[in-house]
Amino acid sequence: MPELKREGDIELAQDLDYERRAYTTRKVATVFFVLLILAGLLGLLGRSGPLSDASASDGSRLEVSYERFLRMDSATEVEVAIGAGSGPTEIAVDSDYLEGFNVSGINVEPKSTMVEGDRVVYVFDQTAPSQVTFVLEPEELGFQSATVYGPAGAELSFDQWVWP
Amino acid sequence: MEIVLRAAAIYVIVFLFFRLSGKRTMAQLTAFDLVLLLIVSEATQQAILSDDLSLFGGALAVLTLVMLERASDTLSWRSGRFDRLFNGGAVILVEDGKPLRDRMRKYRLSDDEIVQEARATQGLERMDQIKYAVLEQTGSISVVPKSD
Repeated sequence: MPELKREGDIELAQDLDYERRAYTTRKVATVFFVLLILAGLLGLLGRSGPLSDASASDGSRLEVSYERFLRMDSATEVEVAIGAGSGPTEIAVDSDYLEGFNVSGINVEPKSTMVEGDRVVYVFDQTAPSQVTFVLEPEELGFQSATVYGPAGAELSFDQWVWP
Repeated sequence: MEIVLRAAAIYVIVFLFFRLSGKRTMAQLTAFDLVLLLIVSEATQQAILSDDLSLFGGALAVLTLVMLERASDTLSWRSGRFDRLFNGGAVILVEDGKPLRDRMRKYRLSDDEIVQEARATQGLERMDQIKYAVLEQTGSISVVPKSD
């Protein structure tokens, strides 16, 4: 229990040194909280925002739109756009990346899915140009590196960070 | 294991947010405070339980929170240092009828709030009738009137 001290005619557990330190701590904490809210608004803490929304493109064959910052168990979308070409749309994603996610949906539904070496290949019943959206729920914290492969050797890499 | 860790993490996070926001937050409930508490409880529910909607999951989460509260109470009782860290201490705001402005500014308290408390609890009419006004650990203000 705190020690009672006498101040004039009153006895109470007052510690002015502690109160001064606590006041400084509150000021610093307030600044930190405001920065945290700003970070959230900008998308640095996940679920969209100007600093989180990103895209990568190789010019014409392949384009990927994704979020840089994610949160655990909170779904994100990775949009893969294939440029004009011939034949059915085939998109491959490296298996290591997919192991850190639960693939909860793919729009458009793939005709077939197969594992080829270190990649998972999705074949779609449509010809390019086309767009496919992968709905993913992160299951691992931290840094996640992805590579997406498109037609004619096109490939794009991107990184994501998953918060708790 | 996950639900216990989540409950503990949320307990610490919510405690830190409220503790660092200032003592008065936890005193009398205004309408805004009540709305805030309701929203906080809703926001934290999903973070604690995630996709576990079982009876045991809920019970385990509640038990974790209750035991953490019990542990902090015990630590506060045994250690003055921990009590001060966890709950803060008392601070004199008015002495012999004179408001201590620097302390009142730090806790964002006005003369009106202190006189209001003096009026409500002691039936006093003016600041100069107050011998001591103390901001307690709980965030409430206690008033000691001057003896006639």
